[in-house]
Amino acid sequence: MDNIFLNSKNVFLDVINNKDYIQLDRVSVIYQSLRDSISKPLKMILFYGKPGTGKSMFLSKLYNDLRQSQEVYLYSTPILDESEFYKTLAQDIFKIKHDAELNFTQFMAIVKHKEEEDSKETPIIILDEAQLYSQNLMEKIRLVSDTRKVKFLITLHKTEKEDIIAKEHFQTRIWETIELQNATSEELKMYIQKKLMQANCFDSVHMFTTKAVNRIHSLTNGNYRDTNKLLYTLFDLYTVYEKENKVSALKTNYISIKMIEMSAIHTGLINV
Amino acid sequence: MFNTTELEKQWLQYKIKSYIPYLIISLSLLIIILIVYFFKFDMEKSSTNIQTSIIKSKPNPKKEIVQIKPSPHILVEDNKKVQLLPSLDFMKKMQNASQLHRPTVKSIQRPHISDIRPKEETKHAKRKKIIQDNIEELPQESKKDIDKTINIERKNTQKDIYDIIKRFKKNNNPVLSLFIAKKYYELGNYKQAYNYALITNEINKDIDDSWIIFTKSLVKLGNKDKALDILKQYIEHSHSNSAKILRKEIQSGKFK
Repeated sequence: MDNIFLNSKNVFLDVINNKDYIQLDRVSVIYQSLRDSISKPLKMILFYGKPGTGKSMFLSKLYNDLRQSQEVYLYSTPILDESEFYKTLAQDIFKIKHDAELNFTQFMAIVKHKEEEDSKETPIIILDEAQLYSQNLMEKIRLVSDTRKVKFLITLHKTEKEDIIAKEHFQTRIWETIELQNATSEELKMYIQKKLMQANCFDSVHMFTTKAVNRIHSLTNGNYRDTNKLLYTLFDLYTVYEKENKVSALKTNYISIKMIEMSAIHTGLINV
Repeated sequence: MFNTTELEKQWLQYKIKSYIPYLIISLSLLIIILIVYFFKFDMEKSSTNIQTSIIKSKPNPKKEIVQIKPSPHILVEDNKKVQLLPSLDFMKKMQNASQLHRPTVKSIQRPHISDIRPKEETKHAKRKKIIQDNIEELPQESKKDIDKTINIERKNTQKDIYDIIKRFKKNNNPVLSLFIAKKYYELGNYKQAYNYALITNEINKDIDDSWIIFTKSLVKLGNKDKALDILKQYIEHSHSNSAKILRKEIQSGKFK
């Protein structure tokens, strides 16, 4: 029993790995629409959603799928320094290593020079957490995209602030927006079960009744990150109870609501 | 690492907190229901008090009737059953009435009937008014007499007999002549009684009473033998029992 809880706990570790990507119906549709958008002659694509809706996992999956067929670069961590950002772009797209400072004018000169040289397929730059980029840099990214030498997939958290950024910088550009939403109760159940089954935790799969999943959904609002966090804590708590020989007081044929709520208290989802 | 004991305490606090809104709602609902119930109960109670007070203040028509004309036969307690028993009081009343031999008129007050029939009341009122007007014209003593009883006296005066004689002379009715004969006999005028009985017998020979008055008058006038002869002849003719009885009485000396 100890192994069951321990293995199940590790399934919900908050690690971005494209192998852990769970294929849900709605997410599959979004994934396909995003792939279609990338194949179109667009300068920019806006992909957004609330924190924890699985954007990073989604981008990881997309990056791994795309890089086998085309030139694609994923910037998971934002490069906030402008010079560093241009140098990284120059190196990845044009294979030019620039040791000294590189400003926007110098970078645009490189772009113009390379434009005349070759006409290879437009590379794709995936910018995760783009809300962290400065307004000035975002404006320059827009100008770079206008050269059509590079295509940007910009991923944002959906907040009021990010909506303003989107309006100011991308309103006049030809671009497509795709939104990733929180899971419904049914989707969440599917997500949990698929995730456990991928890790061969079949005993744990049957412990999640509809009632338990509904309670989890009410606590996490279908947010994948919060769900992972809650379920990790839940199985961790079960492990502790087992060690303290308290688990006999709990019914282990299904997940206890009390244990879910205790986990929620511990993780801060419930504020006592 | 988890502090499970602390976590369980926190969970218990959370559960209690989560039930507080439901508890407050339930309690407030209960209080509202209780307030509404008591308010309604008080309203009903006050309304019944008002009703009873109204009933008390209302004059009871039945009670009023009882006060005017108390009658132990009418007044019956609510919880007691009414048992009707035959009364022979009416026999005593009839006997008293026959002993008095005089009709009495009593003023009867019937307020309850007059309430029910206003038209009759007006008629009674008119009659009463006329009677009262007449009474007012009379002296005080006569008023008192009228209030108590009205006496009707029959007076067999000689004047009355003359009136009947006049009528007899007009129509020659044997009934009237017999009546005159009887009245004269009662007054002790046996001669006139004899004459009118003879006249009746001449008109109609078959009237028993006429022959009896005729013979009785003869006896009273001292013609006992003649009277017996006449009775004998009449008995042979009519076989009258009353004539036979009278003959026996005359013979025995009972009738003188």
